[in-house]
Amino acid sequence: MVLVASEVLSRMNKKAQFEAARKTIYWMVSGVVIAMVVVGFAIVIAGYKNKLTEVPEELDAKFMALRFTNSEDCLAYQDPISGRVIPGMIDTNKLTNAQIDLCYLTENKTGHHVYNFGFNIAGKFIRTNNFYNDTDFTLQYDVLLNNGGNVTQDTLVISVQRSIP
Amino acid sequence: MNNKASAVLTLIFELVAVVLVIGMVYSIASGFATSRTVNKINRAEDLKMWVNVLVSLPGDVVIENSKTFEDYYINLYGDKISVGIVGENKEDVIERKFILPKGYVAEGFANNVTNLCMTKKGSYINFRECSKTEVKSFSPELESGPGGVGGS
Repeated sequence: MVLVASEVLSRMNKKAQFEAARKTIYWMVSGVVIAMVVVGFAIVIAGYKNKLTEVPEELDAKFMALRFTNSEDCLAYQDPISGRVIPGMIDTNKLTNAQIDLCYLTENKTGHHVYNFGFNIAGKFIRTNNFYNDTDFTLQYDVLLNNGGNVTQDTLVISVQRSIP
Repeated sequence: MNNKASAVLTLIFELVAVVLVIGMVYSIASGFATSRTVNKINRAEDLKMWVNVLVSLPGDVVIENSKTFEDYYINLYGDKISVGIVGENKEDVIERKFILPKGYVAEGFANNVTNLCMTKKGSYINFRECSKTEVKSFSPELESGPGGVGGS
């Protein structure tokens, strides 16, 4: 026999009706509280997980910036005769925005959400395509500067822009 | 329905609710305790940084990753690396993006491997299971070098 809710209630005595209503209110309130506890627990765990997997921004930026001083496809000097690349030696002829674009080019529309870099060396300033001088931190490297065979010592200052909202 | 019957019904409802809540909390906690997601994220971040390192190395190189990738699969394609666990849903795969210099190509796939080889040859970056010969061929030079550098 199937009973609808109203029939069930009509068959209850007064005390049972009161008891059922009281329990319903209790479970409505505790349902909200339990849901909040579960959501809170999930948020705490997610936060802890983020802490466990967090990579320090400077470390990430340093790994990316390695290419600028070490790769011949970026700024590193390559001997024209032997073809040998000298990591840590920068070719002054490569200090152009066009060369940086070949080495590290972010997407035009969304590129400001990723790392961008500005480079100060030998009195010049060059930058990646979405660098807008919103520097989060800087990296410094002691480098050699090869200016047509004339080698001097210099400091490469890389301004790192983490992300622009 | 009498008072006793309603009390039994509410007791059953309470028990079901308590079991449900315990089940939810347990599943969240156990999912975290196995650390699968954390391991996947750490591996994806690690491999993304390795791609950046490979780009910055002049010349050709083969590196054997010291981590084991048993039960994991790795897919390197375009400007992304994805790490997943064998048999899990596609939505649970962790992806990380990187930026390559112009003309560089990155690709590779490794499934359930203990030795992951990361290679750079010119402007081609590849991740795959190490073949027996390629890593051994590097070992004698490394072991005989000053300080006895070996492994990866």
